[in-house]
Amino acid sequence: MRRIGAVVVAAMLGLALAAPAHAATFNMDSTADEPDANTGLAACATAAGDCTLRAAIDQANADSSDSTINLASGTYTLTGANDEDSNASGDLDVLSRGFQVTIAGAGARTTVMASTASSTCWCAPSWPSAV
Amino acid sequence: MLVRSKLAVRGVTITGGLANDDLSDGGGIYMDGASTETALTVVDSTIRGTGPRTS
Repeated sequence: MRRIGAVVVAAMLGLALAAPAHAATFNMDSTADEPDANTGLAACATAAGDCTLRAAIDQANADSSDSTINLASGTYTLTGANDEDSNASGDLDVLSRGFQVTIAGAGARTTVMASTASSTCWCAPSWPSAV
Repeated sequence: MLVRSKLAVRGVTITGGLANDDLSDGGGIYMDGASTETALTVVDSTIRGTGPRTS
């Protein structure tokens, strides 16, 4: 019985010390607003082969892992209608439930996420005040 | 920006009507309250809006 217990403890320790789950990193090489061409390929690439902010979100939504999206200096302008929740156009929709998505810029003074939409607010069901 | 995940934003300025809310009738960052894992962290970033909303 003690031997079985030791095996179980060893197995649990092995799981605890195992390498962390795969985490994807996407580095932008375009400020264009284009979707990912194929989220099944686990790579951030538009039809033109560029990695854009929207393509990276598409891929992050499809991946079963944490994702870090690195934005270089520049202005990333989102375009299109905001009337859907699948990240197709307009606003970004982060849907990879259960996984962490990090959007990291080069600095608040140099990396800008903008939009052609007409208004911005800070909305959350439990946060009644806007920023 | 509909958020149904854990989202961290750092080193970014968000401005000029970046995102819509879940009702698609205004801008903003909408946190989907259906998931207890939903969380938003903003570090070293600037977020500028053109008007508050509460819905």
